Amino acid sequence: MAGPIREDMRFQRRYWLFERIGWTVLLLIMAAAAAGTFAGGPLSAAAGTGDGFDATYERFARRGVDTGMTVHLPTSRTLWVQGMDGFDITGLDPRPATVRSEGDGLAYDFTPGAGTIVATFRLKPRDWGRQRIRLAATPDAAPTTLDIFVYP
Amino acid sequence: MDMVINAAGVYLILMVMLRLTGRRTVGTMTAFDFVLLLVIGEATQQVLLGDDISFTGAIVVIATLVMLNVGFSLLKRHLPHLACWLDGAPLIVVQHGEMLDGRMRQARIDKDDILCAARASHGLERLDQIKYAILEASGGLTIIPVAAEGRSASAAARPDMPAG
Repeated sequence: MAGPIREDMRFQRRYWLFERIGWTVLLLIMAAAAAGTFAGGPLSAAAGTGDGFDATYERFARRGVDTGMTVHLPTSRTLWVQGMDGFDITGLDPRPATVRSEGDGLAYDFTPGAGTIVATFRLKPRDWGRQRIRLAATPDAAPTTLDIFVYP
Repeated sequence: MDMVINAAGVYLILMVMLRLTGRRTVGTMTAFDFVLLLVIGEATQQVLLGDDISFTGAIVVIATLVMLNVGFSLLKRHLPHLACWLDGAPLIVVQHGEMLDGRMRQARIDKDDILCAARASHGLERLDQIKYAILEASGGLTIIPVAAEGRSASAAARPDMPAG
């Protein structure tokens, strides 16, 4: 268009297209976040079962933000955990009587008592990427792997 | 290392996001746009420094952001096309008193915006007094009025205008 400025309409149209695509992407991010893709929602809730225990946890976590893992131990009084290197354990209830190194993981021995032990871990992810936590009711049992993806 | 990557990531994401909000937020700010920018700043602050309260941390983050800014301004000098994408380009939205509706719709400005700019910059009252209205890359509207004699002629041509 002849006028006081030189216009580049080809760029302008491409820019408007980029703008619309960008808005769509932002909407998708919002929808995904609401559904729990970035932790804290139905898509993030996950469960794992093994010999003598079952666990609920979040499939997605964000680096530096606490995530939870709850393990039910109906009969066993020991929980063996491996693969926590990428996490800081900021809390564990009930407090285990002893923690000992066992194989390449840690064995938490809880005080014997009646009923199911519900061990609740608060974990703060330190590294991002795919993290694999392996759980077993005893160190020699075949472990169950919990897959957690940690966003940066 | 983390600090530099985080700062660079935040810089790049913010650059894209602010381009997506369009020119309005950056150019003619409403009170709410201002609050929005403050909140965005607050949200990124944690990522940039986290719980790092060290002097060194602040210096590293500031150095990274400043150098990215300088780097991009140097790049833009050599790559005019990149400058277009990062800063936008001016766009004519009114020509000889005619609104170019398609462009105005795409750029999300309306007649009121143009008349407001025309009043503020030249004391104009009507579209036909505007030769060109240009939406600048910075987000402001530049109004070029019709030459003085043209303006009085067009005013005289309107029968509904009171005489004098």
